[in-house]
Amino acid sequence: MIQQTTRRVFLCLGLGLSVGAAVADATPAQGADAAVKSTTEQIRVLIRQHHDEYKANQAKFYQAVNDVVVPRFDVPYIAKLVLSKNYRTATPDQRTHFANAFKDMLLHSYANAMLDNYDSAKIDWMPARLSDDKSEAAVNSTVKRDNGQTYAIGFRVHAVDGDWKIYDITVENVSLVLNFKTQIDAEIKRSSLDEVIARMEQGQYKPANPEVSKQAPSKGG
Amino acid sequence: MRIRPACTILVTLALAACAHHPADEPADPLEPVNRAVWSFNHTADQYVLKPVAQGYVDVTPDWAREGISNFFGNLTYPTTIVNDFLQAKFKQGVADTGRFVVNSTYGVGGLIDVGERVGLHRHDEDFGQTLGYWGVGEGWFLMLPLLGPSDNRDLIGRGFDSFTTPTRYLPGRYDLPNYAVTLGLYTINLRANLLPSDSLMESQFDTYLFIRTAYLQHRQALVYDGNPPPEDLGLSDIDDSDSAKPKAGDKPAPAK
Repeated sequence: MIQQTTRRVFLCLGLGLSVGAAVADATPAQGADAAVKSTTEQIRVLIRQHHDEYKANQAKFYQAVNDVVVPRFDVPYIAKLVLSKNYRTATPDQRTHFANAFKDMLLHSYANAMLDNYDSAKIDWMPARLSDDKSEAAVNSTVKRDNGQTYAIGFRVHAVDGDWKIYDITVENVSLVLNFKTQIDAEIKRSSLDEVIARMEQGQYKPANPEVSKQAPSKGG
Repeated sequence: MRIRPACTILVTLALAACAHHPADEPADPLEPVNRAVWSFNHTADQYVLKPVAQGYVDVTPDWAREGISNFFGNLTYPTTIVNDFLQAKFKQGVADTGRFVVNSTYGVGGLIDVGERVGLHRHDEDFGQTLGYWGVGEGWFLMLPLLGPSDNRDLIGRGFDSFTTPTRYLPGRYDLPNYAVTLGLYTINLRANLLPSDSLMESQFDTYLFIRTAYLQHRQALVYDGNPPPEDLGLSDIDDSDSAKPKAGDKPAPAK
C-alpha cells in the first residue's frame, strides 16, 4: 500500500518535472507584456521620426510596418483561426494565399489610422496574465485619447519558437478574429474561397475613408 | 390594462428562448428581417442622423459636447444604481449613488463629471446585464428599427430600464418641445460619440455581421464587467492533419 503510494508520488513528480522542463523550454524569456509593448513603441518611435516621409511615401510606411509590426503577429495561425471550418478543406496553396491577402488587407486598413493617431493617444499597459501552462498570455492595455475617450485594447499572444506572437486583438472586448471569422465564413458561403482571396488581393475590401481609398493600391471597386 | 397579460406572455416567451450562444454562431432566426431593418437604419443614418451628428460636432466646442455627454450619462445613472443592487453589487451601488449625488450637485446637474475626479468611477449596468448576471442567455439577436442592435434579453431589459430613468417621472415630459429637444439631443450626442468608428465599420466585409458579432461580444463583456471568459476561437473546428490536439477548443494549442 505504502509502496504503491510512494510509487505514485514519484510518478507524479517525474511527470511534473518533465512538464516543467517542457514549459521552461516553450516560455519566452521576455515577458509577454514587454514583447507587445516594445513592438508598439518601436513603430511609434519610427512614425515620430519619419512622419512626413511616411505621409508622402505610403509604400515606405507599409514596408516599415511589415518589418516591425508584422513579425510580432502569428499570421499563419490567425489565418487558420479566421478560416476556421474552411481551413480544413483549403489546399496548402489557398491557405498561404489567404494568409498573405488577409495580412495585407489589415495592413492597408489599419496602417493609416496608426499614422494619423500615433501621438494622440496614451497607452497604459497592464501586466500580462499567463495561462496555466504559460504558453499563452493576455496583455491588456487602456488607450486614452486626447479627447478623453478611453478604449480597452487587449492582445492574445502565444509562444512560438521562443518568442511571443499575437494571434488576436480585442477592442472593448470585441475580438477581431471572431469578427472576421464570421464575416469571411459568410463571404465564402456566398461565393468561394478562391473568389474571396482574389477580391482581397485586388483590394476590394478596404476602408471607405476617402483619403485612404485614394491612396491604397486597388483595382476593383 | 388589457395590455398587461399580453406583455407578460411576450416576456415569458422571450425569456424562455434565452439560451447563451457563442457570438460567432448566435441564434438569429430573424436574420432576413433583421437585415432589412439594418439596411433601413443604415440609410436613415447616412441621410439624416450622421450628417446632423457631424454638423453638431463641427459647430460645438469639445468642452460643450463633453458636458452634454456627462449630463445624459448622469441623467440615466439611476438605472446603473438600481441594477448594481439587483446584481448584489452593494459596494458598487453605494459608490454609484455617491457619484450620482456628487455629479448632480457639485457637477451642476451632471454637466461636470466631478465623481471621476474624486475616484468615483463610472460603471455600466442595466437590466439586460442583470438578467445576464443571473444566468439568462441573450436569446435571439434582434435589429430594432432606428434603435439598432439588441437581443431578446436586452429588449426586455430596455423596457424595464425605462422605469428607472428619472425623466419618465417628470411632469410635462411628453410636451412636444421638451420631448423633441431632449430626445433629439440625446440621440445626436449618442451618434456623435460613435463617429470615430465609422471608418472601421465601412471597412468590413459585411456590416450586418460585424454589428451582430460586435454587439453580442460587447454585451457579454459588460455582463462580466469587462472580464468575460475568453472566447473560444473555434480551433476545434479546424482539426487538420496535425491532429493529437487537446480536445474541443478548450485552449488553442500553440502553432507549430
